[in-house]
Amino acid sequence: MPDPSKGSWTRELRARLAGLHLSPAREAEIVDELAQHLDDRCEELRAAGSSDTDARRLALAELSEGGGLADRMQALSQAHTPAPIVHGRSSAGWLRGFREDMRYAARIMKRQPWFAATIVVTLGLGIAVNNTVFTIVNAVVLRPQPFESADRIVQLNVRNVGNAQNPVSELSYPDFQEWQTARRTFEHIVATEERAVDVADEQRAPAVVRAAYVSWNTFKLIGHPPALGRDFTAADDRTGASPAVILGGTLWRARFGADPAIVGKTIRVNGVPSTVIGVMPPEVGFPDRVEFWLPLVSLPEAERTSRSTHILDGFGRLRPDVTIEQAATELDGITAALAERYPDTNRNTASFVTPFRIAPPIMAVLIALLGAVGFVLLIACANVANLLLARAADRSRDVTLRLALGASRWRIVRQLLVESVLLSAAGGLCGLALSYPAVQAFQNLPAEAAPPSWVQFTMDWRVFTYLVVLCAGSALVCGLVPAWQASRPNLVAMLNDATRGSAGSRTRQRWMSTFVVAQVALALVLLTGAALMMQNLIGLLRTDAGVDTSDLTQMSFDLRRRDYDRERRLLLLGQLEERLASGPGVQAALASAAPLDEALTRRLQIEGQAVATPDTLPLVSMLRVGQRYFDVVGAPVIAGRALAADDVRQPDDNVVINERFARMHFPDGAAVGKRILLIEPYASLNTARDVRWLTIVGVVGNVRQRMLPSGEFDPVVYTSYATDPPQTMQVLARASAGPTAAAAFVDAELRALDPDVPLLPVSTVDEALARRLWPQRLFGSMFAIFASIAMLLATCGLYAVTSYAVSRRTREIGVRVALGADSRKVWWAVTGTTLRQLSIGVVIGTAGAAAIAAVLPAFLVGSGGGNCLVLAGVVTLLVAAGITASTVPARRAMRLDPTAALQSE
Amino acid sequence: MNFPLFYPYQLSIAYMAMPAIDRRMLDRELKKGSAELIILSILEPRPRHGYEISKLIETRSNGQLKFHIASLYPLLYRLEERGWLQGRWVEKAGQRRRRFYSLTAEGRRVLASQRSTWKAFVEAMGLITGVDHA
Repeated sequence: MPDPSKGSWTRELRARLAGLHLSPAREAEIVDELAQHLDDRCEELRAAGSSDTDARRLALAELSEGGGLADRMQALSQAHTPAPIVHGRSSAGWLRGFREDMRYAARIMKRQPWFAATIVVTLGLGIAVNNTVFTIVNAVVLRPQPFESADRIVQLNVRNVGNAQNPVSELSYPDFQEWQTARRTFEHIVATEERAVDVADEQRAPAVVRAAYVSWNTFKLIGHPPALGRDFTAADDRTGASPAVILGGTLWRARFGADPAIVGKTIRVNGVPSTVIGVMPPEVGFPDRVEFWLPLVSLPEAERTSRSTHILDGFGRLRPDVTIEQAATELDGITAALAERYPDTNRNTASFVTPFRIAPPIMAVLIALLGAVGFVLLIACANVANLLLARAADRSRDVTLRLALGASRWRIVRQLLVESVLLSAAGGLCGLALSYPAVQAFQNLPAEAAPPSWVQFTMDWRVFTYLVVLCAGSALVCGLVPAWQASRPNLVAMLNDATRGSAGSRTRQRWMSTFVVAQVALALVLLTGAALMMQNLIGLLRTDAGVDTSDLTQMSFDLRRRDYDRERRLLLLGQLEERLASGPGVQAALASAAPLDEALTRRLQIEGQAVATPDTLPLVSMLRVGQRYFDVVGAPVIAGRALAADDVRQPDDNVVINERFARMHFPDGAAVGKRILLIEPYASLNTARDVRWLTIVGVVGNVRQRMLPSGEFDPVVYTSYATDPPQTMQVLARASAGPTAAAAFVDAELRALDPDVPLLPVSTVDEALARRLWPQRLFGSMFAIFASIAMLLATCGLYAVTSYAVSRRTREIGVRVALGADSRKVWWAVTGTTLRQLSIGVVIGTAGAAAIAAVLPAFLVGSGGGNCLVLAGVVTLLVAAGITASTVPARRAMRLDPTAALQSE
Repeated sequence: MNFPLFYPYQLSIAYMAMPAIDRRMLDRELKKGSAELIILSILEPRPRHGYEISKLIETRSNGQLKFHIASLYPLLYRLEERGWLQGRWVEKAGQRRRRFYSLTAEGRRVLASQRSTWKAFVEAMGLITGVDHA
C-alpha cells in the first residue's frame, strides 16, 4: 500500500501556510505535525475502503474546510512574525543576507533622507563629470569608427626625410595616382580634399556648402554606399567624364526637400553643370563633416598636374593580415621610384602610414580631462567617506550592540558596505541623469568645434560598464574606511556610554583629517591646472596683434571654384583693389592672410650668409598683400618704404619685412637693400624652382601672424600679391560705420566684378581668433568647471568636518568656556585644526601643482609665465575658502552657552 | 477578553428568531463556543496528540461533532499561545515523533471555570425551554 510521502504533504502545506510569514523553524514544526495528521487520516480512509486517490483527495479537502488553515491561523501571534535581522552568522545563506542588508540599508536611508540626498548628490556630481568625459573619450578613442573593417583603415601621408620643420606633408595628385598601384598590401587607396563649393540650381538661391573632392572608391573604403542612387565609379573620376556629384543626406533634406527625383537631375557646382548621381545617408560625412562630394577629377587642372601641390589626404584599407610596416614598405618602393624619376619634387620623400585615429594633441587633452575628473570624483568620495565616518560615530552604539550579540566584524563591515553600495548606485543614477545634458551639449557643439561626423557622443555599453565600475569603485573608496572604523568600536567603553573622546573617535578624527587633507591637495592641483589653462586662454584671446584689431573686419573669397587662371586672378585682384580704394568711409585692402591667422611659411636664406643644411634655415611667415595693406592694418613704416603701386602691379621682386624680422636678422639696422631667398618648406634647396633673390625695400611695424611659444612677434615678409596671385584672398577693412557696412561695401564691389564669387563669412579679426581658439575655450572651460566643482566639494568637506568636530567637542568647549577660556581661544581651538589640515593639504597639493605647472606648457600654445603667481592665487583662494568654511562652526562654538553644553550629554 | 459563552447566547437568540436556520451553521457556531471546553476536557486525563484528539471528539459525540485538521490545529495553537496547553514533541523507538498536548495549570483552572459556567447555562436553558437534560 503506497504511503503518501511526507514530502508530498509538505508542498501542499507549505503553500497553504505561505501567507502567514511564520518563522522558518515554526513553519517546519507545523508542517511536520500536520503531515502526520494527514497520513493518519489517509490510513483511516483507506481502511474504510477509499482508494488511495480518494483518501488523499478527502484529506486535502478537510484541510480547506471552513476557510482553510491559513484563515484560521491569521489571528495567531506566531503568524506575521517579522524575520529577525540576524547580525551574527546568517543562517539563510549569503544571498538572503545580502537582501536583508539591502533592506536594512534602504530603511536607514529613508530614515535620514537629507543625509542620503547629500551623499547621492555629491557622488552624483563626481560620477557625472567622469561619465561625461568618458563618453567623449569612448566616442573619440575607444569606439571603433563606423567604417567597414575600421581597424584596417590607415592614413597615408608623405614623410619628408631630413626635414625637421615640415616632417609630414599631404599627397600630390600625381603621386596619389602612383600610390594607388600598391595593390599587394591595400584593398583600397583613396584621397580626399575638403573644400567649400557653390551649389546652385534654378529653383533656389546659390549656397556655399562644405564639400570634399574624393577619389571614386572612397565610399567603398568606408563601406557606406549611397542611400539613394549610385556610388561613384572609376569612369566618373576620369579626365573628360561628365561631372557627377553625390549629395549628403542633410543637404538633400534641407535644400532639396528630400526629393528622391533629384537623382539624375543637373545642378550647378561652382558654375559647372553636374549630375546628381546619389544621396548619402545623413550620418556619413567622411572625411570630416562634409555634405557634398565630387570626384577628384573635378579639382582645378593646375592642382591635379603639379607634383609640388600637396593637398590630398590619403587613406587606405589594408588587406587582412597585412601590417602597417608591410604596407609602408610597398609604398616606399613606389616613392623611391618616383624620387628617381622626379628628383625635383620627390627627392627625400617616403611614405608615412599611421592608424586612422584622432590627432594626438586631442588625445593628450582627453587624458588630462580624465585625470581631472578622476580628481573630482576622489574629492567627492573623500567627502562622502567623511560623512559616513561621522555617521558611523552616531551609530557606534548600534554596531556595538550587534557585535556584543555575536555579530562578526565582517558581517558589520558588509552591512555598512552594502549601504555605501546602495548610496553610490543612487549616486550613479544621479550622475547619469546629470551627464546626459552635458553629453547632449557636446553633440550640439558649434560647427567649428564639432568633431568629424563619425564621432557620435552617445552612451553605449562601454560607458555603462564604466559607470558600474565607477559606482563600485566609489562605494569601496568611500565605504571601506568608515565600515572598518565602525566595526571596531571599544565595546565596553561604548556600552558604558563613554562615547565622547574615546579612542575609536580619535582614530576616526584622524581619518577624517586625512580625507580633508587629501581633498585640499587634490583641489589645489586641479585648480592650479585649470587656472593655468584659463590664464593661457585669456592670454591667447588678448594676444597683441601689434595693431588694433577690434574693428578690423576680415572676409575672404575663393577663386579656385571658378577655375580662374593666373592672369584672370591678377586682373580681378587688381580691379578689386582699385574699386576698394574708392569706398566712402571704408578702408579696405587685400592680403593672403588676416592678422593672427597663420600665413604661409617659407625658409629664409639671406644673401651672404653661410648655409649649413637646408633644415637649419629659419622659418618666416610670408604674406602676399595689396598696396594699401599697411595703411588699413595700421602698420607704420619704420625704415625704407612700403610696397608701392608699381611693386604691386609689376612685381619687381621687392619685399617689405617687419620689425621683428629686421631685428632678428639685421641687428645692425641695415635691412633695407639686402637680398633674401624664400624657399618652400618641403622643396629641397637645390631643386626649388622659381626661386629668385628678393630685395628688401622697407621695414614696417610688427603685425602678428602666428603665436610663438616665447610670446614674441614672428618674423614676416610681405610680397606683392602679383608675384603669385593667391587663389583664396582675404579682404581686410575698417569702416567708420562698423563691420557690417564694411562687408556690404566689399561684397558689392566683388559682385560687380564677378557675381559668381561669393564673399565668405565675415567677422572681426578678434572674433575669428576666438573662433579658432575653440579647443582652448572648450577644454579650458571644462577644466574650469571641474575645478570649481572640486573646490566647492572640498570647501563643503572642510565645513562638514569642522562642524562635526565642534558638535563632538561641545562638552569639551563648554568646560573650557566654563573654566574661563575667552572666545578667541575657542575660535583658535576650532580654526586651528582646520588651518593645520589646510596647510598640510596645501604643502602636498603644491608639489602636485608644481608638477602640473611643469608638464602643462607642453600642451599649451602661446605664452605661459607667471606660474608662481597663479599658484599663489589658487592657494590664497583655497585657504580663504577653507577658513570661511570653518568660521561658521567656529562662531557656533564661540557662542556656546557652557551650561547648555554641559547638559547636552 | 474572549468570553466563552458569548457565542451561544447570541446564537440562541438568532436561532429563536430564525427557526429555518441551516443546521450546519448551527453546528459550526455551537462548536465555536464550546470548542475550547471540548479540547480542554479531552486533554484533562492525559496528554494526547492532535489526531487522537480529533478521533476522541468524534467517538465520544457518537459522530455528532467532528474537528477536522483545518479547525483543530489552529485551535490547539491558539490555546497553546494563551498558555492553557503545552505542546511537546515525543519520540518513541521505531515511530515518527509526535506532538503531544497537555493541560497547563492555567488550562486546568480555565477548564474548571468553563465547566461550571456551561453547567449553569445548560440548566438555565433547561428551565427556559423545558428541554430535559437529566
